[in-house]
Amino acid sequence: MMKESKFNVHKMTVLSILTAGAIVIGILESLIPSIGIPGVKLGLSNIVILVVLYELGIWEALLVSLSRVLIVSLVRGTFLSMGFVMSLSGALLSLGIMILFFLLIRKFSIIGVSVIGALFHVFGQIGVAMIYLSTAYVLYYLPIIALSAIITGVIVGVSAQLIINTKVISKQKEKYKF
Amino acid sequence: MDKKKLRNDLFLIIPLLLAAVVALIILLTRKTNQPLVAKVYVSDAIVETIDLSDKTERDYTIKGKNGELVIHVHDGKIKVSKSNCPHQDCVNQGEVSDINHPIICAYNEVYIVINGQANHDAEI
Amino acid sequence: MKKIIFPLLCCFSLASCAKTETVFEGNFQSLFDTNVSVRIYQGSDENIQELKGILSTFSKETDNYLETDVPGVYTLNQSNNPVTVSSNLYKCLQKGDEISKSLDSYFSICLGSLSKLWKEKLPNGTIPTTDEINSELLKFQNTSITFAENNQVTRNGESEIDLGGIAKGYAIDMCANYFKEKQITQYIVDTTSSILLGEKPSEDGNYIIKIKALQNSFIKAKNICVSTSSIEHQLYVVDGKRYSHIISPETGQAAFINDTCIVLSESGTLGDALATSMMLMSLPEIISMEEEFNVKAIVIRDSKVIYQNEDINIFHG
Repeated sequence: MMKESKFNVHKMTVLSILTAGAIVIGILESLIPSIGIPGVKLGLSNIVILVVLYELGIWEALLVSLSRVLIVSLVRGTFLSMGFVMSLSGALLSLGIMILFFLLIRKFSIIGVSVIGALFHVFGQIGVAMIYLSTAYVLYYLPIIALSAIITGVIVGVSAQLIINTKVISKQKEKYKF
Repeated sequence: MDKKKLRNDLFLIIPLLLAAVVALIILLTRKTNQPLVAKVYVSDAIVETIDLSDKTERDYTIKGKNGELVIHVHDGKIKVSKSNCPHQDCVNQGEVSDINHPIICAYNEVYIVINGQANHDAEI
Repeated sequence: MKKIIFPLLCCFSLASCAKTETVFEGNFQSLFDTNVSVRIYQGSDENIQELKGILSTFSKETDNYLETDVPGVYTLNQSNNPVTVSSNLYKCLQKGDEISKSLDSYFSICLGSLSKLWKEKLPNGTIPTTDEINSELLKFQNTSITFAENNQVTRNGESEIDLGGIAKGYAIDMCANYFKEKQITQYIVDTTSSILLGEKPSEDGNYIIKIKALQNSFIKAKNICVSTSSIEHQLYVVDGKRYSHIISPETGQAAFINDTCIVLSESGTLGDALATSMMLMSLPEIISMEEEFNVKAIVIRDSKVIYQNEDINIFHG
């Protein structure tokens, strides 16, 4: 009989693999130079976050997201720097709004949720940049960065949906009951 | 895929896209006929005002928060030619010459912003 | 889709409609070849033309008495006999004479002979000799102006009249009277060294005046005259020494202690004269002038503010 507890080895394994994926994407992404303000990234690891959110739950998504931010910054050596805080605020804001849309505002598909998540990710990053640099001049870059975020958001959303469609995780859920 | 939800998506995404594009267009088409001047800020104080209508080639060394950078001005264009920042984002910005493109070196908290010169009513 | 796009587009087009403001401008040469710039936010273009007319009439009236090669210096009358001038010129001379008497050792409108002397020598890289200075100084000391009825003035003595120190100030006072008459309250008349400020159609009504002698600095003011005297207007260097266009009535020298003096006053004529005089004054003297004439000053040396009235704020950026 399977243990009836919150801790499920199989779930943990799946989460770990997904987190690793998010981290790898995060590291590769950090190699792409950002426009104008350092630290503003594309947000491709949101593919993983979205999949986790839709397939595994809110707290799980939070766990994966925070782990991603933490470990990527440790690997890149930017822990506790401005870039780290930007990333953290972006991730939290983005996840927050996605949870809102996912739970309460059920009118949009995963693509819409992804786009709004990407946008808030960028808002979080630029907001922190503005505070750290104490200047509003950072806003000059907002239109172009927002534009790229929206486009990336669509791509990320579509990709996430495709992954969900493969039912890889759903099958694992069914099999190991988590 | 739920067709209704997809349609709702469009209602969300398209206005956002339009807003970003319009903002971008407004930003990029901002023009001024006034002679341009570049103001160099370190944190929030102006340390240097560079007259861009003066076409002579010259360099300015600016002491930023964590190091130094060198600004090169030539023919009404300004760029950061050298900086000790790790990512070199400011150097990679290249040359800018209009009011829509500030150069930001976050590491050194140096911002170069180009404005039109006259926001005063008279000069004495 | 159409339901969202149309209102959105409406919002954007509304937002991009710039606010247009009523303004009438005029730029013309007047008063010893100074560029005068006038801006009014009320009335009509006619007002600008009328003002231009007033200033050009005054210019022409004074030109009648002009020495041939020295702008601002007038002989008035060749033979110490009374001459009838226009009413504006009469008032200008009266005001100038009054101020000269108050500012005694710092300012006088009778310094024409000395002005001429220095204006001949300095552009050629020379300075007058002590004898030359003393001879002209004597002429000045023996010169006075008497006023009689019917706009009659007599210059007594051999020194000419130099209106350079008050003419622009007087001119902007004329403008102020004109605006008062026409009930125009939002205006600015800029002759660079004398600026007349009414109110600006902005939130606080203040005009922003940039100070060239300082870096990135400006003051905000309204309903006041801003007079400036600065070595930047005219500076000569002879044998390593700096000379300005300001003559000391005491020594006859083209001296100056301060680099730039800015005076905020109700009267343009007074402000103009004071700004010129303060170039020769020490700080305590300047402060007592502020009190005596109820004006506010800023004094600059070596591109640094060495004194500013406590009611004045100098902004940066």
